[in-house]
Amino acid sequence: MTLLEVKGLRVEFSGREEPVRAVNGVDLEIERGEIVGLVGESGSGKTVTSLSILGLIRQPGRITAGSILLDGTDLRTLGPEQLRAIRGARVSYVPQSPRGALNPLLRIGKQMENILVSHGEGGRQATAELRRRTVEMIEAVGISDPQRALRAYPHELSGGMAQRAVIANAMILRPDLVIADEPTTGLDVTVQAQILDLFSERVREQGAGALLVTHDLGIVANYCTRIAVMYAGRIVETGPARAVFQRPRHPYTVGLLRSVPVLGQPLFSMPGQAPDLRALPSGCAFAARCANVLPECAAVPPPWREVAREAHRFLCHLEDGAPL
Amino acid sequence: MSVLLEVAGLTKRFPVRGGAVHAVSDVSFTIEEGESLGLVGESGSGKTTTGRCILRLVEPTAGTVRFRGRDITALGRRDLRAARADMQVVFQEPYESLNPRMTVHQIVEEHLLLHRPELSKADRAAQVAELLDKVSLRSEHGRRRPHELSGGQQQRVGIARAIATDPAFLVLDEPTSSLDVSVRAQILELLLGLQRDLGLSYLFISHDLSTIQYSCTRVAVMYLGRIVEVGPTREVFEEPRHPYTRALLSALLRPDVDQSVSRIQLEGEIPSAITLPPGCAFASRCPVAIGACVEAVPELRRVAGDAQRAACLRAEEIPALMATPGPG
Repeated sequence: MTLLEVKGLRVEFSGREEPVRAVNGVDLEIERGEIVGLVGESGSGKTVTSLSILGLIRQPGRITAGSILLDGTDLRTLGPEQLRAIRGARVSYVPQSPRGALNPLLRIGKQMENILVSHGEGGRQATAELRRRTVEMIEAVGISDPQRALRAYPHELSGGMAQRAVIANAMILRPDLVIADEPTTGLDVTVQAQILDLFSERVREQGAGALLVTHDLGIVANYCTRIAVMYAGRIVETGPARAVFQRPRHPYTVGLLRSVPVLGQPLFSMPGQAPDLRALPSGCAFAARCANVLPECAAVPPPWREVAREAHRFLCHLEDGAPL
Repeated sequence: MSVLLEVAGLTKRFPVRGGAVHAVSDVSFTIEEGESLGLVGESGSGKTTTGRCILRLVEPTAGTVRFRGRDITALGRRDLRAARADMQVVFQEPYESLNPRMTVHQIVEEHLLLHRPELSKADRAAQVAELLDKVSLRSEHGRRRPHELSGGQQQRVGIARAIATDPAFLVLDEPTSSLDVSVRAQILELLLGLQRDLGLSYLFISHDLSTIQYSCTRVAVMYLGRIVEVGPTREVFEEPRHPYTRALLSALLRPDVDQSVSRIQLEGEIPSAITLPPGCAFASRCPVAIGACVEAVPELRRVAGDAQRAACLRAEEIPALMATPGPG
């Protein structure tokens, strides 16, 4: 059975004016053992999509449609208690800022023990057993002096060490699905590579599935098996990372890839900016910025197109996608 | 070409309890008229402090900064203010660097009021309109306030303000880092276009090697307050002579599924700038360090070609010792 299956997800944020339609019909599947890269720019809905899976959309936000199936169980039908039992144990989260994810008043070891205890693993288990598991986990995230790290308060750790501790927290209950939202954005490039190597190794080793939310196409090309590109609340292209990077089809994906400076190639500068999510056009949301726009694009919703044999799909009026 | 900016022995220490943060130590480089020098490094490497010391937004502890031969560090307040008409800065966070109470027109006009008091109101308005046009903003943007603009538009305002007094030199401090990928390319193109049209020189500070590779003819790599390698971008990126430059280049993740770079895995992170290690600051993480590395700070010396210099005792052996990262 598919580990995660999101179908027709819609999320709105209401205010005094027209509601902001942050997610407008997202379908997403994740299997065990794969890392899916969810790519998009700010406001594309990638973070809202991941928070929806975690059941963390709060007022004024609201899921208005769709289902989120974890091993066939729709998380939207569960109550707060059931969701709390699932979060951390079956679905866990690695946020962008490790500082925000760690309690500044508790030692790292205590925080890890609390996670175990709050999911019923304390109880009769001796303290020594809890200790053993935290040491094992902190070693597994590549911290060479585990005793010292477990005794440390978050502010005593460097950014890279703190993010390792957050990953340890996210993995200690051996979740089936890990959602990481820009897990290396605040880190230096040499540390970024360490953390991503470690993250993908842990995910594979534990046989979990992962959703890696990022704006960085370099990360997706190097660490993800599949990619989903979001624009204005919709996935506009998805497929195996190899197929999409070798022959991107959606004009937005093509533009995004060409916006990364590479020596000896002209830099492509995409005109304009993302549309207002309170007033989305009836047709394709990218039409106003698209270099390959057709007369029908602005008014008629684009259809899904399949690239034969590759599980590669894109949402566009152009039959073969943007020419390269 | 003639030298526009000459930085020599620039040093900045911030006093803290029990010592000092050695943010910048003995940094020297030159920038020629119309040239872009890229300054790369990770957080804490001292690249931002270097840029700020040059403009004296932060007072350097030691060293000289000569702009067209005149020592900026020796100027009094009035002369410094006048000199800043010629040397300006674009900040990383456009929103935080713009006064939220002022309109775009007022923000861009402010530098003209300060540096060109002789202009009439009508002339100033005409100049502001021209500046907005140069950064591809429409005249109605002038009436808006920063929060009404997108991140890319805010950065355009920051750039219009920086070029208002017709400067020769700009410090660009991560000008595209906080922007979305597609907007980054727009702003980078704008900066490169302005450089061509106005003959500007840039100190382009960035942690993003692709951006530097694309926009700068020369590059200096900083680690823990010192320049460890400097030279023509092409040569430094193709055959780096400092182990840190190699590691940095090999950690660069390109949007390419066939990237076949053997990554140089560095242990640990950048050490504290309060208690500097003796000798080479990179030695604690360096995969090819030898005993002599911790004895004295290695000199930044010529190692290849005319202009490529590296601060490494083993610079000559580095290409043989470490796998070639190569620029993709």
